[in-house]
Amino acid sequence: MRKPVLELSKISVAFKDKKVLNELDFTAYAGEIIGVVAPNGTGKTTLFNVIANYLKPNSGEILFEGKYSYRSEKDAVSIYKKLVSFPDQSDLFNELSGVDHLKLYGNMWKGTTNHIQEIIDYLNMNSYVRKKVGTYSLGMRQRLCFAMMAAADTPIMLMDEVMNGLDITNVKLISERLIQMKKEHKLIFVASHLLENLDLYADRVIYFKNGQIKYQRLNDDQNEIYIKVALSKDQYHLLLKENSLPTNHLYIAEELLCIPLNGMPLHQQHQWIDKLLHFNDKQLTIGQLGTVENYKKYYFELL
Amino acid sequence: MIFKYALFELKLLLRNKKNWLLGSVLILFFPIFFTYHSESSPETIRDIKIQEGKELQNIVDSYPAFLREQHPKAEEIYQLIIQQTSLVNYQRYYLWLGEDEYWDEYIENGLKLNELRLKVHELGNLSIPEHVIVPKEEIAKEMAFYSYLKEHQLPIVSDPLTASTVIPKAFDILSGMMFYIFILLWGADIYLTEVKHRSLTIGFPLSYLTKVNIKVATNTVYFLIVLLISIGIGTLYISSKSSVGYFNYPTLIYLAGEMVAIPTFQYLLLAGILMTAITLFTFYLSIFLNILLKTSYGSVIVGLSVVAIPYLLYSTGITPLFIQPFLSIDFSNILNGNLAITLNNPMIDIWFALIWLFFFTLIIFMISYLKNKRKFHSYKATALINQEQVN
Repeated sequence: MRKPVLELSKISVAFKDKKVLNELDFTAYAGEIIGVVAPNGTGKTTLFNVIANYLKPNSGEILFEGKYSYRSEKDAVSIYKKLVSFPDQSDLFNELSGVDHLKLYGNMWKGTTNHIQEIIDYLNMNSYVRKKVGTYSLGMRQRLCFAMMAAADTPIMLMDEVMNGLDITNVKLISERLIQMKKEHKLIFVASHLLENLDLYADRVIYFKNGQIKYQRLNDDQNEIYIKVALSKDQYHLLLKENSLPTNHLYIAEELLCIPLNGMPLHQQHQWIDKLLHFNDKQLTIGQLGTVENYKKYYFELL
Repeated sequence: MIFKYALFELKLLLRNKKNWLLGSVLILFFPIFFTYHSESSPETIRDIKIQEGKELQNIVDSYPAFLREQHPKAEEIYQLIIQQTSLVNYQRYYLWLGEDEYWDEYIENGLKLNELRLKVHELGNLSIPEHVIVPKEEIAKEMAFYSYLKEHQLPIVSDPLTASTVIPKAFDILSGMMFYIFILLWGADIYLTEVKHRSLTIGFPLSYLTKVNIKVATNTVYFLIVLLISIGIGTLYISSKSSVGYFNYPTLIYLAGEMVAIPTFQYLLLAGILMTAITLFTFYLSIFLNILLKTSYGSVIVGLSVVAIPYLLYSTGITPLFIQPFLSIDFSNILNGNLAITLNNPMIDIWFALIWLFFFTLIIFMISYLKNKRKFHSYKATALINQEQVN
């Protein structure tokens, strides 16, 4: 049986009257990338801060590898040896170079800087990384922050808004690197607003609402397959009037109809596809509900 | 890892423009002081002896004859003053002839002169004006000085502008509030990198005390190197303008209620030890204030008040016992015994200062340690980051 790397039990955090995390229970394992999804202000960063002990919860317990908690500084240092958090761009030292930052993280966690050049090459940072950080653009800074995480190379990584301000090429590069890190049995938390991107590498995506995990989606083959088509409210009602839709169909955020295919005979599947193509012949897809659809389902519908 | 972190701290220090500015000020301090000191025509041994001779002659001329006739003690004092006048005049003569040639005589006269001064003290300084009485502490200093010269066969240095003479005098100027403010400014943002770059540094796998100690150690070593460079440059500059002098020449320090003559280099070493202790205390205080106030200005102002208030009381003549330990930052006046004499407390010497500075440092260290320890035992919602960073 897999042993959990991180266990959160009954974690609560409140700021004045607002409960940001409410008796949250959660377990994470090595070799997982966990996507954390929620609208702004619903506790993603708070969760990361609690995991990294930058914020004390009002109650609850965090346990690493079944033995370390933040009850003593000795344990905290043991945890910090295995955990690194994504730094804020604004916290970078403007007077130091990117290489200085990478060396710092490499030395502090891995005790070496031998792997730094490989990271620089991989992220195409050679043209600027030896210049002072004060001269960097937002995208350059973001890449540096990710490179610092890679330089630290710890078993647990907390990446808050890792893809912010990055172009498509760099999003792809970092996504591939994350997949590589997962193969190295790292536990990585990624909070991101690039929802479709999460589908590429996240094993689990957790959706926050009212301080709790509203839904947790496993990115595996066991998930239901749907015919997904964008329909207006009127089109949906017309379809509903003329046809008997499966009871377990979904109409997400009053814009996306999802009809489950599992267990449906093949000829019936074809019939539904034909019918739906009449309504929208440009936006019909077949597949699992992705992070985007689930996001709409859990945040737009229930608002 | 600790060494690598120290190197990183050093890298930050080397890029800190404020420290470069303060370092430059320190480097310029000794040459500037020398220029000022040389232009203010410092007293030579000859000048001092001429002045002493004049004062003794005045006492002889104005000593009341009737008193000598009525009191045998007064007559004895009068005779002792005459002998003193003679000894001082001979000393002037030896200096004129050449201090190297008449070294033995000069030293012996000096020792004899002070013995006679003590005798006059024993007789009650009868009818001698207050302002010309040489205090016992001064007599002790001079005797220690002459004895040291005699014991170590050292020449009489009559030039007051040698490096070995000017550097200790520069230390006198630097000592006290000036030095303390300098260190406060140096350490004003010592821990603020942790506050300003929080998300980058907070998760380092180092304990709080390790971080704090590394910061204090790197800053102290860096500062001491700058101080040594400053003294070195100062010595070279003064030597080029005048001469090096003798760093084994005696300097007097107050130790366990007595005046002790030690070589100048040893005096500078002791001053260095006290400066290091003051630096350590100030840096630990700055870290504590940085954490508490999160601004460098606030840290400097509060840090300044900690010592300025006792100093203010001292300068106004109010000297309750509790202010004495705070005056330990005045390393020069601790070493030369001025504080012990002014405050009439023979306990005030280098050990007194070191013990109190260690005690103060320990107190700040303990408060800091306990404050940090609370973070791990309290499970109330304590935001360790800024509220706006929460989401």
